[in-house]
Amino acid sequence: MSYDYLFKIVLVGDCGVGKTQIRNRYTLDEFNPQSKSTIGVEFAFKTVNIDGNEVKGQIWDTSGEERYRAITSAYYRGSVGAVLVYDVTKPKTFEALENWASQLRQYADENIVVCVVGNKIDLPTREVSTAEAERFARGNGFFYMETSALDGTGVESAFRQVMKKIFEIVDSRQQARKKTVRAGSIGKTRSIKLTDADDVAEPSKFSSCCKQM
Amino acid sequence: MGVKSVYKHILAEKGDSSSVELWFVSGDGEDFGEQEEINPEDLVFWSKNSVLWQNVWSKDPSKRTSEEKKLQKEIYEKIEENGIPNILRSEIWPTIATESEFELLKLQEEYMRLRGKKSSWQSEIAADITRTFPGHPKFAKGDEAQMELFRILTAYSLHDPELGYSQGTNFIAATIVLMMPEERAFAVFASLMKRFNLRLLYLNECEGLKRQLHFLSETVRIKSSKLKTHLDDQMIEPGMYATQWLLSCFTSRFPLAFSKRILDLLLLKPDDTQELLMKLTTSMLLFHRSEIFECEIDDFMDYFRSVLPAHFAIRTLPEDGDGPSYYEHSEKFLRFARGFRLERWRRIMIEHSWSQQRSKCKRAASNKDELIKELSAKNEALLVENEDLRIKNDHLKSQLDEISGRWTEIALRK
Repeated sequence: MSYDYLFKIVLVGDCGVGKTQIRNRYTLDEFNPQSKSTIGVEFAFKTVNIDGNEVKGQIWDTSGEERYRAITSAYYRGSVGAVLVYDVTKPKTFEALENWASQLRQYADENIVVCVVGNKIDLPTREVSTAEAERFARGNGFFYMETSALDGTGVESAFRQVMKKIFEIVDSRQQARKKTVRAGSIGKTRSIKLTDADDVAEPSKFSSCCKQM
Repeated sequence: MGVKSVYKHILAEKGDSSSVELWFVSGDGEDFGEQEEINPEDLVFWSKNSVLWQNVWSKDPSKRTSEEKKLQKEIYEKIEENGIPNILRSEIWPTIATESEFELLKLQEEYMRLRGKKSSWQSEIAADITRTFPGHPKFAKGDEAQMELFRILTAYSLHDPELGYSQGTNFIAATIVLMMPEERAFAVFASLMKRFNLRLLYLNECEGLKRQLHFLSETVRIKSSKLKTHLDDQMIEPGMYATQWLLSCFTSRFPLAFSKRILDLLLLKPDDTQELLMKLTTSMLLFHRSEIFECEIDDFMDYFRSVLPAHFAIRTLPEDGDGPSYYEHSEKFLRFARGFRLERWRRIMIEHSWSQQRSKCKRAASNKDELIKELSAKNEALLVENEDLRIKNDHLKSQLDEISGRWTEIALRK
């Protein structure tokens, strides 16, 4: 299947907040009540159309366990988007967002587009208010969305918002530089980086010392 | 398109029209091998030798006769080739996991001492208990097996405080819990982690895992550069599919019958588990290469999650239709893996490139540390300067106040 752009997006957040369920809802439109812990990292793809462009999202679903931070953080490199998940019924997972955000700042692209997602809004026992979470997101320059991976609410639009924003950044940069070269037209599809404008049409570079991750 | 034909092929073998996705989701823990049939030859072998072997194992290893050592060798060869019949695993696993009965009893005693004690890892363990083999009837919510698994993992985190608990080990322990009584399951699990050194995979920020992934990537490049190129082109890295294989020793993604067969093999090699895992992961890719070549970027997730493991769940009747059915794919794969060889010099080369990469990483990390040190020193200096300026500022401010006070006085006098 051909595509014009490839965006690498990471899903992060504490153990058990529903990252894998969000990924499955988004890429397969399914919810499996029998969930299994994610060991290390898993991945999935989904292609969407943005302004007439086929944009493929490469979704990296990471383990929330502390021990695996060293491994999962290696996947932050080259990510242009991040979905930061917490569980609206567990304040501890919301408080942990600060920590996750600083992980992202440390390892990911500095212009990474981030969407904070409050998951499990289908449950009656909510303990983190929308206002509180919105304040956190706004303060950090992130988007904010609420989702239920169980019934599907918000999942699609959270990802769409992130992808659209990334697309806008990439597109405006190309406009500014009067670049008409579209990745797909060079034959091989390119993945996108946000920091260095010269990298816009370059293939993704896995040249860091921990590339085997 | 490519992987769809593999789907069809698997379903045709299974004689079914459901979808592979629905039928096989790895990690659910469906036990397709519950009613495993025993090959008549194995039945003869084990009924003759299993009790004899257990007697040998109950003795001090240094006091075993050459006859008894010969029996041990025979047993090991048999297991290497055909695995252990499922009904005997609860008896045989402890005898190969430990050096002697004395060691097993010691571990069981240790368990009784630790059982029920609190651990700082408890909440992490609890979060994973309901997410381990959720499709298996014995792991249904609140079932006794779940409680046993919780107690065993908690006790292990106390038994090995350096490691504590790590995701992935829950699937290994669960596979063992399904087979035998609680304290014996703890002993086998603890032995696998410590005596067999599986813990190396998880320690020091998963150093062992990173080493395995490096070996995998390099070995595949040596054995099939075409396969390596294909995976690179599709942007599929070893960490994406092999992390689960390694950190759970193939117990989290494959049918239980296959997972148990892998544990049979691991338990034969107390000094060589890392080597065996390397063989298995590399073989897993090479053995399925023709299918992998058919996969495109969108197919890989399904392929590694369902299609590849599903092969191992299919039982085949022997060609002449006589005798028990068996896991043909699994047997063929294991034969392939047994025959896998990597020349010594190549191994040394890979080991060398790994240690180079590691020191490069360490250097990068220490560079970063130095930069942090430098910046915090600068920060410190600026803070001091800032404080000085603040004092000066205060001083000037009071001077200004004084002067303007005098001015007012003078102005009023006029």
